[in-house]
Amino acid sequence: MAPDSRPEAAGLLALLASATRADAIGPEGLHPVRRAFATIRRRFPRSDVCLLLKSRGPQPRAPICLSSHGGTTKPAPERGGVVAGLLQLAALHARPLVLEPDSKPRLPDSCRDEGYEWAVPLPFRVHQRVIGGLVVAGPAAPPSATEMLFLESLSGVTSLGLLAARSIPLTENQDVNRALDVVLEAQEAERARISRELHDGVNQALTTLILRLGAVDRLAEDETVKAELQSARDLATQVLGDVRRVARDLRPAVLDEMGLGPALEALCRTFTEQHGVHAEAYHLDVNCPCRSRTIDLALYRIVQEALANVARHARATQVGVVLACREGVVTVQIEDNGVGFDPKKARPSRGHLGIVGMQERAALLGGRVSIESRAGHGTTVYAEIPADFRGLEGE
Amino acid sequence: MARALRLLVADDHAVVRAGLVALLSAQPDIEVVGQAGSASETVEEARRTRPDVVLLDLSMPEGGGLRAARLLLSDPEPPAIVVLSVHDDAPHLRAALRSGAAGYVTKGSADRTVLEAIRTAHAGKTYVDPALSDVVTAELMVSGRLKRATDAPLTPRMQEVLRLVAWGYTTQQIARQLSLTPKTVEAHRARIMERLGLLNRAELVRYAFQAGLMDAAPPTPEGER
Repeated sequence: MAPDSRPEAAGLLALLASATRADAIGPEGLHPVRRAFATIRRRFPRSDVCLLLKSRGPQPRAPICLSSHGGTTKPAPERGGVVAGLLQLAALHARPLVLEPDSKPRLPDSCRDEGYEWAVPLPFRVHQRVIGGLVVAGPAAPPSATEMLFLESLSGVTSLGLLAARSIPLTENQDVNRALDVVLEAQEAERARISRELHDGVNQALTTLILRLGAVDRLAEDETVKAELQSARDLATQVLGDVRRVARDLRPAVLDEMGLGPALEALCRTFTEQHGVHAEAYHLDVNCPCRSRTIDLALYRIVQEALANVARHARATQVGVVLACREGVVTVQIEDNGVGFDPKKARPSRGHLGIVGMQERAALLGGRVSIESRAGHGTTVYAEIPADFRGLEGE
Repeated sequence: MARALRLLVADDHAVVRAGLVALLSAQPDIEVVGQAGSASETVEEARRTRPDVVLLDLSMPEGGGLRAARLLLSDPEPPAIVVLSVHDDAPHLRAALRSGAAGYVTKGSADRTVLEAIRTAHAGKTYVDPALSDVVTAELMVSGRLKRATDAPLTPRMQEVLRLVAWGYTTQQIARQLSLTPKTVEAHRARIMERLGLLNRAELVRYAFQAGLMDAAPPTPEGER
């Protein structure tokens, strides 16, 4: 390995790690395709990325084809044919392909006509079938060997993510944010379902079990039996606590029942218990007339992610979370008194990518996330989302 | 012996309800006079059986436990309400006590706790699950710190900075607005926290709100939008 390719490889690995996390159920679990898209755009800023996804479901529909160039992403049905062709071509080869004017197989002329000098098709394979893929193409300098390895791994990871996310049908008329937002919504719905099942099934069964063990305890006279019963009850109580925590992480009931402010309070309390770092929330959601559930959920996930970063990196003793609303913008700040960092020197490490995840989530709703930090002076995450964002609601 | 305590058990999970009824009927001083599986059924049953105490699950279909509690407590000679909840957090506790519940017990806590809550509520007192004592303590400590903080006045400049911090503006935005350097803004903030004896942003904003610093509409710093 060339000496200067080592940091590059490390950076790519970090990016890949973030993509891998996308298929895990967790606060930062964005849709895998979204993540792959964003990751490639970041790593290959001069190139274009095309995404093709075949639709699933009873009615056969045209596959969705999106094209991203210079920061904007839009539907590109006219490219669907070429992209599908390139993906099929790649699927026939066991090794990853870099298509160039003089390679074998060759870069199609239609690509050269659009000014591309190279293209890398990355098929997503689920159960041996190609269900879509990404094509990265650029004007000059094809990807290095390390970068190829990265792209290849990324497509593998994304395939796994798709399998995990059980991707849902997409139509050709949806733009990228919308289409991927649908997937995000579906993921949230799935989390809500699992959480409800944990609550209604496991939780209630355990509660009953604890009550029954108590009843047996009163009947028992033998001290050894009583001691055994007590340890069984302790165990059941502990499991109940665990189940409750998992259910709360997946889909906090307090968010549905009482709204974002109380949900953030509850989140902070759990954080304090788990990490021994005092976290406190205060909400000022006066004069905020039209906030939607989508916004609440996004802000909740952003705070979850920010708190996870505090736990991982900050070495803080105090965390304050504030929710407020001003001029039609819902704002949340998460602030710790930890070691902080120099934002100018921040490399795409794990924590840094958590920030990208928060930014993506806010951007989806027309909002933004910014960070202020200085070494030794703690870190503040500022998130804001326009309160009147309607998004997918009511559809 | 005194008349048995008349109890209504309301929980939408039949199995849990059966377990509770079995436990509670075994007590010599308690008579379970009714059961309910939803919020509206709870109100109906309570009005029909006139219990002394209602053991009430918080999350129930048809309006939730708290709605049932509020309805029942507006009746003449209302029963005492003991909330039985899966939630062990401050917002749920606060909401329950605000609706007039006399007891709050988390599911999964010892049956002794449930019994004690029911008996305490019946005696006209309030009972909170010991498992929630840290929640209660934390609330009291914050309000204590805030009370002490109000004795330490801030300079007008400090008030200006605090107001903008409280509205969620970034240090950069505040610096631009007040024509200061970001470091000066940070220094002001640090001094405010120190003077008030507050520990984090949440407490700071709570103080700003209570001190009336946020009564006026939020300012728009230059360069915003």
